[in-house]
Amino acid sequence: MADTTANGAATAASPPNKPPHSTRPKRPNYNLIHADPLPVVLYHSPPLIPHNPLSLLHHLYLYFFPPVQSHKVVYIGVFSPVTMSVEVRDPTAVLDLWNKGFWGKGSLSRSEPTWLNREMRRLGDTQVGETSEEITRRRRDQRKEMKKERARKEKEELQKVKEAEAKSKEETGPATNGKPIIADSKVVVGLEAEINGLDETTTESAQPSAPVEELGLPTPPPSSDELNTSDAESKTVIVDVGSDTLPVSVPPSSESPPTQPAKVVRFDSNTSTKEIPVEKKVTVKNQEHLQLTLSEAFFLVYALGVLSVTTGDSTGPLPLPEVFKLFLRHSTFPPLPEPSVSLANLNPDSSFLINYVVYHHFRSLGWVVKSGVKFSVDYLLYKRGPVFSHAEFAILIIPSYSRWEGREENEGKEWYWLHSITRVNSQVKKTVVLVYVDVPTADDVKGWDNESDGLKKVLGKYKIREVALRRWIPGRNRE
Amino acid sequence: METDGLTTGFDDADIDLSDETQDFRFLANITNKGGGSIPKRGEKDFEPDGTNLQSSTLDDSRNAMFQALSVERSHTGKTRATATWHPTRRLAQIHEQRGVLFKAMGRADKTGTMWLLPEELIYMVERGSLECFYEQEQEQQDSENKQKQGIHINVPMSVQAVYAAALEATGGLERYQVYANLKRSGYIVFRDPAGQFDELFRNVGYEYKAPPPAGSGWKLWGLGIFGALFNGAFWGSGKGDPFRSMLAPGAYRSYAEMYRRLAIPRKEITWTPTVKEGGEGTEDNKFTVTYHVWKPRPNFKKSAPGPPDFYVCVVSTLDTRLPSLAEIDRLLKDIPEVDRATARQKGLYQGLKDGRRNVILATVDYGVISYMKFSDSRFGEEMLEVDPPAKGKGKGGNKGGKGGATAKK
Repeated sequence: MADTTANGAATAASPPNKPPHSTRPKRPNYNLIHADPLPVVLYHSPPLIPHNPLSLLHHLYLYFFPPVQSHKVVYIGVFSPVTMSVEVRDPTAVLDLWNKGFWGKGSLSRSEPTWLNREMRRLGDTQVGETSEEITRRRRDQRKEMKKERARKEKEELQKVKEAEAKSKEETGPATNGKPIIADSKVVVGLEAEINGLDETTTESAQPSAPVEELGLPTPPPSSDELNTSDAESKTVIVDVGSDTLPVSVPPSSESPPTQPAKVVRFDSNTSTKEIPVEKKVTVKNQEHLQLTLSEAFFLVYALGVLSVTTGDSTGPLPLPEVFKLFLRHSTFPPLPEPSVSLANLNPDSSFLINYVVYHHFRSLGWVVKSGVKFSVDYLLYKRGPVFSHAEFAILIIPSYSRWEGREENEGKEWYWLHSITRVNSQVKKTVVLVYVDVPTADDVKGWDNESDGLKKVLGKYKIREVALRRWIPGRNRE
Repeated sequence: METDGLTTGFDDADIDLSDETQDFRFLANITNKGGGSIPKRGEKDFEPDGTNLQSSTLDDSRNAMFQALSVERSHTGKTRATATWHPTRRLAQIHEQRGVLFKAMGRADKTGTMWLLPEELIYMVERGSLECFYEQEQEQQDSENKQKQGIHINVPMSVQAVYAAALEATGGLERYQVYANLKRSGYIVFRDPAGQFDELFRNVGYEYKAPPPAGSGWKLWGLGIFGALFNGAFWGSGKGDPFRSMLAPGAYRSYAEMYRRLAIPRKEITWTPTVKEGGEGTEDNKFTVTYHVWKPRPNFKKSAPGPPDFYVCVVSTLDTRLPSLAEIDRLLKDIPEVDRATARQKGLYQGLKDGRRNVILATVDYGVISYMKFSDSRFGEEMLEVDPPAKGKGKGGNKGGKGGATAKK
């Protein structure tokens, strides 16, 4: 399947001469995979051959009349009212949308759709690279182990101190005039140092070194007959997982590429002394799809024009005004009744519009905008994308109604609400940004549906102002 | 890759050591041995573990605290300073200036008499640096005591009395609490001149208010106009389609070109949010700059302090909520702005975090002060690099503004 091979190839493509001390598997070349920030095709002029007049002419021609090729494909997404999202199932579309701008999330994954890879690795496939979920799980397990070990050490040391105290009490007898016998402070210092040292060593070993840890995955079922695998011959084996519950639009699994010469993926230089993993190729039907939020989907449909949205029962792609109305209705739960949403009487105070305005604002400035629900904010801003660096900014949308007559302006949140959010976000080193959105009134946007570029003008009537928050500590700002 | 976010090394700027209970043994170390080292943060004990070691450590620490508190504090005659509280003027008159504290406090009038603001007075009395007397009211010095005029028979004031007399003039308990907290942290703090009730203090030697913006204070909204013109010129505007895609199919040579078309024009250049209740200058406006704050510096001059390092607005959690857009706008408007290049010098992330201007909101919740910096960060001014760097120009990515990204693994 497309996404498997692509990721697998990316892992395999990395040069084999890694630095000697590094035991970590080489990362895929993200700069290459995610070179395009948008799923729109860039126009590259053909190479110019200066001494060939024909080439020069051709070049000139292309300069003034370049071929239209930005929108080569239009992806298809199906609106799902239940999840209030747009589902994309075509594997090429999923791969494109993730690689070129990090759109959506895998329905069975934390972020990048990696369910298929995880499943294949679970079944013993040796050609698929490690997924981010596995790395995270391993790190968490290691951290848990480290804490357990630390607690054990502390307990041990406490026991030692107690024993030492009991012993010295016995030796000196009860005639110590009530003065408590204190364990040698050197012991304690040593103990602290040991515990600290323990911390450090475990953090160091958090970088995977042991091959057992590295491949610390559920071992594939030993009875290979049941699964029709025969490891030695690197046969392509189709494992049908839960085909009963399979969604309809699953690509045929026979698409898997023909068997290639055995390629051993080594995770560790130490493996030379150990058994060399035998190549194994597993094919699983992909049961994961990409979920786009309404804002993401609308940006792809309206701003970029690379996505068509259908509903489950509609025959073809919905026209843009219908998509707009659909999203307006389904931005709340329960969805608004159909007659209450009309283009002529657009209500600018729609949560879809407010969210979309902010989404579009940051997207169009080059940020990769993802949901911030994990950190109790509306959006997270990534520079280039989540695989490159952590999100630096956490966006909190504050709608403002200064233009609305008779509407109480300060419906402000309580301070404790803000403090709890900034506290959470400072723990993960993100800066909370209040994004005030001044919402236009219904009269302000009246008549937009008869104007050229009306929607763009409507979006322009929302005023946006960013206020970054940072805890300020007197003791830390004196210089 | 996104971690689950929990950072293990708490060495960043968000740790406030003053939040923690101190181990007073370090004081004993310093005084006994003349020097000693600053204590390190260690493991916390959460519960009694039954060892003598723990209980004796606790006892030691407690004894050290009692010992520190039991030291008799005395004033020598040389450093004794006195002042008189003038209830009508709501200022305190200093009789003799002694000590370094007056370098960053009070103000002298034309006759050379030194006057202290009420918060300065409470602070000085509270820390034992000043003795305060109450001035007799005029009517008490009636005719039969005329011969006593000219002689100061003032009543000495207790700390409680000073609080009772001067607190109201500080602008409220919250303001004084923030003032004292900043002073104890070593800062130089003066009231915002607009908030001074006495003419003497209103005249400062620096520009404290941002000049009114020349023409447009809201350049931010105008950013997309260029893109709009660009679009209009290329695609015409007579099609009448309200839903026309912002990125028409075409030949784009760079992603930056595409992003320019995706920008939404916001035309309102001069825009100030309307204020609905309680206009400017009324009692309702709680979000105003209260204090101007300077970092401690040895050569500070009261007469020529230079522009402040921080602007602090004190609010109480009892009667305020998260400021509205209009309130934030009014608060920021008075603060001088740095230009974009200066803000950008700190790098992309830091520039956005500090903004073009910022104000520190000190929210006081029953005496607990929480400082938060509100920065006017204009994301709209910073278009990120979207095109991959050209080949042969070194490794791609993280140009500029790498910020704290590297530290987080």
